Amino acid sequence: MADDKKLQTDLEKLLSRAKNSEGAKNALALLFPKVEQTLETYIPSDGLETAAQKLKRRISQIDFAQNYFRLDPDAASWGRSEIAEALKDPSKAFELLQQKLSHVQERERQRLEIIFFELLDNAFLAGKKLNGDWLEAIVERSPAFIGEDDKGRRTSFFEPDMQDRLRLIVLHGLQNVSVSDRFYLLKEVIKTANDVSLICDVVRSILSDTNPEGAKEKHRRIDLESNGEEIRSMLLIRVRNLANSGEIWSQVRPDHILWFWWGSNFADEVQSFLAEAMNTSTGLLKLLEITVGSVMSSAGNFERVNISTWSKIVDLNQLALRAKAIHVSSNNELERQTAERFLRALDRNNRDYDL
Amino acid sequence: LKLDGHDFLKKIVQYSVHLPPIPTEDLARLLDEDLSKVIGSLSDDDSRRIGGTWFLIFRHYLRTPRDVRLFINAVTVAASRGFEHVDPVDLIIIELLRLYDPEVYWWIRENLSEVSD
Repeated sequence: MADDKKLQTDLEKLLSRAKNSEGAKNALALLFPKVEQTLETYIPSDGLETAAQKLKRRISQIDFAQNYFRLDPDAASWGRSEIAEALKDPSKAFELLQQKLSHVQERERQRLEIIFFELLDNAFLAGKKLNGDWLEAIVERSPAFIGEDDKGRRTSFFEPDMQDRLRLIVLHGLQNVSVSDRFYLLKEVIKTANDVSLICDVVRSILSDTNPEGAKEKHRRIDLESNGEEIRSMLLIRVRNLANSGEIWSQVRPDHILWFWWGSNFADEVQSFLAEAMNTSTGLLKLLEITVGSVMSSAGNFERVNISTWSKIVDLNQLALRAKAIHVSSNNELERQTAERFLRALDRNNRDYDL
Repeated sequence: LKLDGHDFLKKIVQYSVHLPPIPTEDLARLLDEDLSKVIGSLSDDDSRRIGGTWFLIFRHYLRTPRDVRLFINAVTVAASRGFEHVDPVDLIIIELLRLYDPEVYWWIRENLSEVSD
């Protein structure tokens, strides 16, 4: 609110000094919707959503605004024809993305990646149909992109993480295909995906949870009609197989898979699986990792274990005892650090953020 | 020399004729023709957007054929970089401000994060 007032004052001062205040006011309002709202010019807007404004590289979009003042093209951006060409073919698109990522500096990688996914999302929002090639390509590459978030690169309160971004892209693409095609696409990808973390989130968004304590909200625009539960059952078979083989721990987001399993009303299965997993070295260490979540706060970010949530599927007292044992007796430095991090996050939760 | 240029010219040109004002529709037509040559064809959406800008913006700055020509020269240079990374209509408006309202142009450059989404 204070920022709006300051912008209004700055703009009024600027316009009082402009060569032609009326022309300048209209130009600013046409270029920047934020100015139009601040000055209440009531200039008819072109009605473009943010997504379309990005596709058109409008100056009002921060990712493209600097291009209007540069002498050379921004290497960490996407040209119109470049992205149009890339979006014709998923393998080409991801190949080009990797190529471009290798040519920019580390600090620009995230921006380049996010612009790519936003433009892809915009294309689906604008009606592009998701096909098997695209779905397979996104799911296949999702662990690499989602894994980047583990390096702590997310910096904004309002920015979705990569898992969420990819989930929305798939959901927007699924909106544009028929119910039977949706069913077929999901069925195929469940069979072939090496990592089902993203698929678990997508299916959960479409079908919601059958667990009475779980999420109730179904995606309003994506329906699988009578085939929904068949998709859930197919995915559950894959999840159980991954759990039995222990491969679940090498998936990029085991926690999301566990919550899908729990949400499908098999809380007892998840609890007994995790109770056994605590007896294995890999299972125990992974549990100590995945139960720790990040909290972004204006007073500084911190980590905590959400007790009210995790205690639904895992015995946190048992886990804390195991963590203390590792912390005291393990010879492995990494294991000791993992245990210490968990204990600190659990303690932080008890002190500051008890839900 | 302590001579005023206009006074000096009066000694040579003894009868001055004021040119008739150019109707704004003619200036708009001139701008339209020149812009079409520089930026080529626009999408229907962009044509609609630029259609409204004459009344809202351009007529406040472009008052003579010379203004139009100067502006078109600036747009020609800016457009030579292509429209791969920018929107043509936004670029045209920015060029107009750079040329005829530089303080506003520099304010935009320096305050992009305040006004962008």
